[in-house]
Amino acid sequence: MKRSLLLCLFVLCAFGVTAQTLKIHCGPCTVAAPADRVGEMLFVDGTALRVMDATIDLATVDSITVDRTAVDDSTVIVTYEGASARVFLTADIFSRLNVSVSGANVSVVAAPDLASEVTYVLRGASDAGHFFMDGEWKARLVLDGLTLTAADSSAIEIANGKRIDVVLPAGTTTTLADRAGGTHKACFFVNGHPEFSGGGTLRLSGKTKHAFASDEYTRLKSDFGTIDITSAVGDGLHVEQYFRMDGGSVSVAGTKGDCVDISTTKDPTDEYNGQAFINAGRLTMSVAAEDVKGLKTADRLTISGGTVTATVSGNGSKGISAGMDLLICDASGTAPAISMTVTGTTYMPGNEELEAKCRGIKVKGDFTFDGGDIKISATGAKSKAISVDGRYIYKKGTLDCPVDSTW
Amino acid sequence: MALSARLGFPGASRHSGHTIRHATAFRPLRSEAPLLSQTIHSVMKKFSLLLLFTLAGCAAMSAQRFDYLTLRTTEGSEHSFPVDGLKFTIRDGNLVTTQAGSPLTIPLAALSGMRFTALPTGIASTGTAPKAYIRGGRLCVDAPAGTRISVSTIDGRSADPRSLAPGIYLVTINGKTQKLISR
Repeated sequence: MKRSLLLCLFVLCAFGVTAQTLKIHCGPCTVAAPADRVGEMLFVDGTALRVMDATIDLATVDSITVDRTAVDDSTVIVTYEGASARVFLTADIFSRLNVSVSGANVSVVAAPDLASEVTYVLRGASDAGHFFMDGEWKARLVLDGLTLTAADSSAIEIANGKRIDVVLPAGTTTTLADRAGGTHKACFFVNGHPEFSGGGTLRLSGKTKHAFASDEYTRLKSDFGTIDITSAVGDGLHVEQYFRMDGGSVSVAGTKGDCVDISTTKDPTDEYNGQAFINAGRLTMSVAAEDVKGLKTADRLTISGGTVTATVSGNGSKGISAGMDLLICDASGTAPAISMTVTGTTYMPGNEELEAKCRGIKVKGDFTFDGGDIKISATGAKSKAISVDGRYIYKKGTLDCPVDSTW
Repeated sequence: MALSARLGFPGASRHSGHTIRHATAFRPLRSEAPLLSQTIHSVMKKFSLLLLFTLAGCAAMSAQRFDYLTLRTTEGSEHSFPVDGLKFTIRDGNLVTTQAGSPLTIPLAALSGMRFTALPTGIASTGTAPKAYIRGGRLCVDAPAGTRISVSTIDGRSADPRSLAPGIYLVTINGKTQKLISR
């Protein structure tokens, strides 16, 4: 039995090492085609080479090599090397991708008729690089230990408006940064809806505006690792539509705006518009700027698991600010734990328009407490632990602070 | 079927002419436990062997070996190169190999295609081998006088080398056969 299984493994290994790949090198780009599927490749009048459905201008080709590495279809690998970048892409998608490389600035735009999911792998390091991607089909973005600082734009800008799987392989750390004075929205911007997975770490800092922003929902999957935001001129995470956290760890500090800001999209019919769901994981926020929020939603906020920790030291700031109702419950199966230290005082006291008071939790709608553990220490002058504009509905859970409700 | 009956599947009992009560009669007793263990082991062994053969079959089919890259010229001749360490550079409108032992420069305009093959085809080296091509329906061979040459169609019929209609021909020079295309 054991011998048979070992033989199976041997056969599988033998299968793995025999793959041959044709590589066509065109300046910083390499087009790869697996030998078992290229079939007949045709030279066209000595000016072009047709490989699979790609037609490659021979004037751009430096060399053609063959090696025994295996490649997956529909893959683009960008390797940053200081002031330059190399792009590796597979021949099956070559004709539908417009790739441009200028120094360490890489742009990949997929044709509208590309109807398959492309995996983009980014790795290497550059202190003056940028990655731009656009397309009309969902895609996968693997951040494989990338260190990238942009000169005058986002470090990563995904203009594609579809679902983007953002994968951080376990054991890797990706660090993205931008520079001040740009006009971009975030250091890492996704126009569509990113879904983060993988056990790695993503470190972000936003020196022009937000550290991370998405124009549609953002989801952190249960196997997700860590997002560590060290600074932002604007928000740490600026998410439109909704934010869903099913696992992982998010740490936000050094922001001049909100730590996590969930706002509504322009389309009011979008589902869960302006909401956030903290179902599991760990959210840690340092709310040190004045008159800002740790976790802010434009609409309903549901915390059904995980841990939320905030240090609120900025005058007039809030640890959590729910634009509508707040529900804290143990629906995920694990009771949520919320702990805060509120030391800030009033921002612009006496100013009728701008005065803001410091709160641990501020709820503009109703607050329903149906399981969990809340510990808030509010020591700043005129600060409060929990302030509710609507009704406070207690069902179960432990609370060590007063709830101030106007109803 | 015997195994099914042994494990007490009612359907098997019915099929083998036994009643459901036989399933009870076949309930494993202590003395039958080693037999059951042997049977399970035998089935697992068969299963793993089947898995092995299936994997081997799949691997054989999927991981075809392509040890050569074969270039074809517009004249129909072919040149095969082992893929290990193979590198072509494009220089001044030519395809140049840098592979040790096989130096070759071919104008890009003279190439019609290339493909991966398991074995070398055509002329492996142009160093000393006679060169043959078809131009204007005539077979041209660069070879010393006295070289033995024969031409036949793909189905084995002899062909006139001075008048070759468009098609594929087998040209044998000193016992070595190659395919040429008349256009």
